[in-house]
Amino acid sequence: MKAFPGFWWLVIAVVAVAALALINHLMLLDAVSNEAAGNMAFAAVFVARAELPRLAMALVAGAALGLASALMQRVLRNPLAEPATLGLSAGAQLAMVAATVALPAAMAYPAAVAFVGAAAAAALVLVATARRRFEPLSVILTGMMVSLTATAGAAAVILASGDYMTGLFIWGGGDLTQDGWAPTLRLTAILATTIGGTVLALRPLALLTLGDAEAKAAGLAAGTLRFAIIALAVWLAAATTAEIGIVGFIGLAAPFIARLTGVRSSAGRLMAAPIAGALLLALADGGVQLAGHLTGLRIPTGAATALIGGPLILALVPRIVSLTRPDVLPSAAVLPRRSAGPVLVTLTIILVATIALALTAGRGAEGWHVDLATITWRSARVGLLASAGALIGLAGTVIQRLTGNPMASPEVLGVGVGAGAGLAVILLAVPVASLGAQAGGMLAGALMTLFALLAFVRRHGFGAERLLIAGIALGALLSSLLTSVIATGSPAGFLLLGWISGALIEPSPDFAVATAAILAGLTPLALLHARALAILPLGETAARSLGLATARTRADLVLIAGAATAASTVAIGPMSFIGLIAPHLARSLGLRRPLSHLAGAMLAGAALTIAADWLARMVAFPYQLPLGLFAALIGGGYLVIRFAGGARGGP
Amino acid sequence: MDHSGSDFVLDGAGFSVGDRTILARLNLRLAADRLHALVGPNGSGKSTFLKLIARQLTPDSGTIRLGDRDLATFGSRAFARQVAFMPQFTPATDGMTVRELVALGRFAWHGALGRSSPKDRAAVAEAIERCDLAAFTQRPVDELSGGERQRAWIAMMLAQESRWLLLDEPTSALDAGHQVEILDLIAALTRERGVGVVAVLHDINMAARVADEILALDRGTLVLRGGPADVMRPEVLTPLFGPRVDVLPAEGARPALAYMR
Repeated sequence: MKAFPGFWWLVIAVVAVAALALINHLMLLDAVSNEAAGNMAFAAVFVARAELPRLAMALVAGAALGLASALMQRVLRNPLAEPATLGLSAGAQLAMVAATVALPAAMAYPAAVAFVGAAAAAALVLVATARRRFEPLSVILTGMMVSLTATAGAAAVILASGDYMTGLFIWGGGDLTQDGWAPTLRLTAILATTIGGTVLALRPLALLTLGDAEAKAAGLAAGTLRFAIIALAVWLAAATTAEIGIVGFIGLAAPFIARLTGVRSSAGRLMAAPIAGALLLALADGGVQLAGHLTGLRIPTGAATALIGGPLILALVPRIVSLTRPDVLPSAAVLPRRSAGPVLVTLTIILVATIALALTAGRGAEGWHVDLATITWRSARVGLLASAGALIGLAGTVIQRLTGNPMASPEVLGVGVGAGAGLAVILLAVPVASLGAQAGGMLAGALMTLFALLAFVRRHGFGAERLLIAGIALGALLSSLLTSVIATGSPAGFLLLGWISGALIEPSPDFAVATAAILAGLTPLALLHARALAILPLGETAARSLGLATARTRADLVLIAGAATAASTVAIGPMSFIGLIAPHLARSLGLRRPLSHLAGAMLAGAALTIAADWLARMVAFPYQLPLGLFAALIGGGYLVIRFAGGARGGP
Repeated sequence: MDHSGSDFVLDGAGFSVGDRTILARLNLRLAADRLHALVGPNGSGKSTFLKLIARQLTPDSGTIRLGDRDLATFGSRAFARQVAFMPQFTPATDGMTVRELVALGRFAWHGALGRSSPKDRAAVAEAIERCDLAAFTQRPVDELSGGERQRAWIAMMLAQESRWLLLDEPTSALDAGHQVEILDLIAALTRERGVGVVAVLHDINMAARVADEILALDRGTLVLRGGPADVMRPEVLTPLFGPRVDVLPAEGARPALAYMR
């Protein structure tokens, strides 16, 4: 008997979900039987008010994520679009954390608050990539940046409001624990509405797969439809995040599995995705509960799905046909062309002025003041920030030229998160690890991530796209591990939370000197690759035809950029956005050739980092805000202004 | 210059994806001082053929040699000094000026660190001059018209001073006037510099106009090879284009024209 494609997979999955639920139920009864031996009433209550709602929530939430992702993938023509990769989940999380702290009354409507955050994230990503016509890779890269920033922001808010708030972060890790039916019913209602909307839009959605121009030619208001469907998907994703937190990768895997089962029609795939998502999340959650019973550890479900999903993306990498479109127009024509000398001199003057400001100006008990005496004890900090900022500027320029993608940034190597994972391991092993040991752990984590990435990409020929996607997947995998450690609520978790938000500890002069030495060592190495950096943006084919040994050159450059990122992450923590912005700023000032581009980005990176730190110290004086958060705010603001302006003036 | 030592020799070279054969095992030799036009319907394997000899793809079977050396034995730069390749879609150049783009052609000679010698600069200047780009040297390549941009890429290949120029549909994005201009430039370069050219061309009439030799591929096999005079005959073209093809014989200045009845 073969009723429809994928029928037997469906049967197997349903049986597996049921079996897991039964095993978990029996193990739970076994665990409590000492205290409540034979108490059937307890078991009945537990089944009705905790276990069944949790199973139902897993099914409904999985279906919601599957449908939201299938819709977004369809509308954006992007096989990697889903709430987590687009930054929607993190945006919703930030909004809810901020509302819990600042406006508790609003939390009576969690789905509404989550929608505001998710919609803001979606707007940011779409506005920033409109000029590149929502090219899939650019959308994913921007989504990753928005996600990192929102997570850093949420971590900062939680830290600032005291450690009793860490529970919020546990929720952020994706927790399906239920104590009643209300949340499940709320989400079911929203899911049903969205399914209704999707059914109404099935025919136009099939047309959209052809592309905008074709859909328009067929008489479809593509823009309006796209906006409506995205709004619907964002609403569904936000509501899901509001109920269960961030559960990544389900949305990515569900549409893919739906396709693997052999469903061909456009409508069939759209409807198969939520079914696949429901079963997938139920399986993952059942597995997490089983692991919990067996080990006694409480693992966030979101961390488990990332553990499945990270490798899934890596496995998909070789199959992905193309995430870049040849029809994306170059933006170069609108950039000014200036001679490099005056621009570099101006940037140097700005950097010197910023350094002078950071060294001398500040706020005290009696207001603003400029004091030369503070130079001696601030110089280590400013020196460290300058070196680290220059390192990120260097890494960003190398990565953008290496991949030929102006939306790429050092974060795509996953090295920063790797450093965090290394720190986590050290903190878990030695709770009172010295700062030196912590730095060592971070360095080891960063380098291991870098080599893992290189080893993976080497097998697949070092294409720029594959490098980016593999890096993103690796980063997502490691950051979910970080979230799990933080979710334990241990002192190590609290330290990691500070690290994620980019809180800078007062550095020793030795540390500043060591970072400066690494900068001095890596800069000439990058400069030696100037010609390769001029050729690589032309792409693999042209670069090879010109005689560049692309695979080896890319490996060298990834090592240089990775080492620079690792050094700066160890020195000042993860710095979202500056690695993206500094090379951009240099380019838009007219620095086009590799050497002046590198120099300009390093100067801009140093100045931005120092300025961000100064603002972080001054804005809420006497309290010091996390540096990473400020860097992200500066960078995010720049990105919106620059790209929104470009979107209006662009083609 | 004597080029006989740098002929392309294919010895059972084939390429397939999964169990689908893109190019069946080919045995042929391409002479290093002639203009070869590759024609054939979509999916006939002509682009794959070009990428194989450009070393952008590696054959699954057989070998490809340049002169008496297997392609795989060349270093990256050594190969680029022998063979220059222009893809069908030239990439965006991110604000690069025409002179900067053409100068990249010298990478194969001076490498990553070598200084740019007077010989390098002379080659760049000559390539710009030959492709009539003197007025555009400081203009960004992205701002040029389609025909000018194509000339800039051809100038880059010239600056590379390789023995072979491989071009994948160099005229596909151009109007008829610019198509003729580009193809005549390529044909002139073949004669002046004695380089070998393999160009994938869509239009059999354009191919017959400029090529020394026409190679027709169909479903991954070579179905036809010969000079324009041999190829431009209805009975020869029928297997390629079907029974409705006919040829208007050359007459005075007008070359032979193939058309569909």
